[in-house]
Amino acid sequence: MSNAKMITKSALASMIAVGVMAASTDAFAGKPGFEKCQGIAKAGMNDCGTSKHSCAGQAAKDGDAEEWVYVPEGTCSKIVNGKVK
Amino acid sequence: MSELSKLYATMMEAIYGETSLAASYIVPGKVLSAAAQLGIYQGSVKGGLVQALGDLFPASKGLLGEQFFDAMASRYVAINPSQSASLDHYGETFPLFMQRFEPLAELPYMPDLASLEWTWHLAFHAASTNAISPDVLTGVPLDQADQLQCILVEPIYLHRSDYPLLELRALGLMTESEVDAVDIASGGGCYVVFRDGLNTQMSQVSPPLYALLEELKKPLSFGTICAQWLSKHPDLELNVYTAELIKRSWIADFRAINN
Amino acid sequence: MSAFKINPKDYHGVGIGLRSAHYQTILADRPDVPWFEALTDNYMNDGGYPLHYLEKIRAHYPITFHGVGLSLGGVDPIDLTYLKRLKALRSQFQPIHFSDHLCWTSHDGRHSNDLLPMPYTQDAVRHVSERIDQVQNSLGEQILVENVSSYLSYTMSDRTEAEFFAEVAQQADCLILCDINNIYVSAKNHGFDALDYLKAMPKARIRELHLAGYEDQGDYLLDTHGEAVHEPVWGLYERALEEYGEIPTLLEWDTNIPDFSVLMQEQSRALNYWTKKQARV
Ligand SMILES: [Fe+2]
Repeated sequence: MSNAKMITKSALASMIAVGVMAASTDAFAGKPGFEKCQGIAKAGMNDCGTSKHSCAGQAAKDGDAEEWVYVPEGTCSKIVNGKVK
Repeated sequence: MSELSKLYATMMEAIYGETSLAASYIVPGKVLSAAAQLGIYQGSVKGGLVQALGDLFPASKGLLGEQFFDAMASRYVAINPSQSASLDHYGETFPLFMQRFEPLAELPYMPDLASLEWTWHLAFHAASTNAISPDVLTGVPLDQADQLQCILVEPIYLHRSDYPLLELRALGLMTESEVDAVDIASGGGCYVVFRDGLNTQMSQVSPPLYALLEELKKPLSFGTICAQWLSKHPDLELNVYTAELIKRSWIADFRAINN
Repeated sequence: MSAFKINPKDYHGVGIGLRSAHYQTILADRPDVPWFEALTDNYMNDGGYPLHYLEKIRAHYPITFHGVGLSLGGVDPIDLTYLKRLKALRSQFQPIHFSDHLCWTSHDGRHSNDLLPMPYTQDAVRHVSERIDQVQNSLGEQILVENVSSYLSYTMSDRTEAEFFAEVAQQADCLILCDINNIYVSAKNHGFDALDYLKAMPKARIRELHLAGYEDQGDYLLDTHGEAVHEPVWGLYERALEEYGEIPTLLEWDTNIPDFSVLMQEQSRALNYWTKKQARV
């Protein structure tokens, strides 16, 4: 058997070994239940399919943005060494 | 072009930009002019898209502040009309837009963070596959290891960045009091976005493990991947990293490769 | 076109629009709600939480499907991929029925992701009826078409919205979802009589009513679906029940979504009108 073949075989063997060990220690079974997950509606998710017009007026508000707008605020003050020259 | 087509084309143009032509199609109201009535739709459509971007890139919005983010988003909206009935498809090119957005030039970590957020969104809604079960794993034929393809679980996305993206994301999502300062100079790393059941997660991994994941994304045999990885990491123990993949539940299957 | 099969046991009284913020409360408390309306556009993904929760909730409640993405009034071809997804969702979740709006949302590949008003002309009647027919043929059942709230009208329109509705429903042989709040909002914005509108709608085709809240902008009413139902809309709702009979009603709240208990209060108020009407018959 070539060296490369042996290496591949041994890499796979190590995976199987971990899998077997995990099976015996039940590591695969103990995933926390997803029902407990909180706040799934928050980050990165939008209820897009609604029949509202709630955002009207938003564009007008953003129209006069030119001057003030290019100074980001938010939590950026907590970013140290943030500006890269 | 039918009368209906002409009307819709003019209306759509008015909504995303030039309103003057559409006004002639509209009955002026008792209180609101035709332009003002159109303005309601303009605001609703653009505002809806700006809001969708804020929902999809919440950490970016948190870091930049609502005013800045919304103004930047409305510039994006003005030149990138929605192309899908679903807002879940909107914003794919927003990270690229941020990269070229002059006012962000001094905050180079923002596009990377936004890319991470986009893949978080994709992973959140993706169909997911399970990690290989121990039973199946023990049945994988060891003596044919080099003729197998090692399949990663779905979804799994890889990011490499010069900036500490996980800390930045946490900072962007938290209220100010909850997180201490993030030091950009602390450097970046390799990040993996994946699903654990229904939970979308991200973790930082070592560069060699990341390199192995990158290889495994390619449709090559396990043997070829092992050889390539070893040629780049001659001093490292491959077994440690392959085992790590199983521990993290990132391997879905081994399949015979047909060639 | 065959009518959809509704089990009247499943579909009566006042349902509530399902929003992701309430998934967990609904599963934990199992509120006494006859059915939930699921927004199909939010479940057109391949996997993840929303689909998972919809499955769980479907196990305990009947659902209706409500969409905003078909662009029935548009001129771009009906999106067949969208229709295919919709069918797949339908076979998975077995909704009571599917509804979308009498409006257009996209043109020449550009989407507004908003409900834009149609002109009310003979040409438009024929056009939208054919498209509704196409969708109904593809789904193999009748759909419900809903009136939108609007802020402008077109110079080319030569009939009222209610007249337009009646003609379309007749030509397409479709059913109607009548949003009471939207009627009120449009009536105020365009200066027509909401009661005239109610009376001009083809009664026999109305299968569901919607209730929601608007926002008074001073110069006009904005349909935010983001507040409690306003008093004049409750008044109009009572008249609608008198006019149409006890039609299943759905409460929608899409922005500034409150605690589920607030929706339950609104729901029970609507149910009061509903049962009061029922007792009188
Ligand atoms: Fe409605």
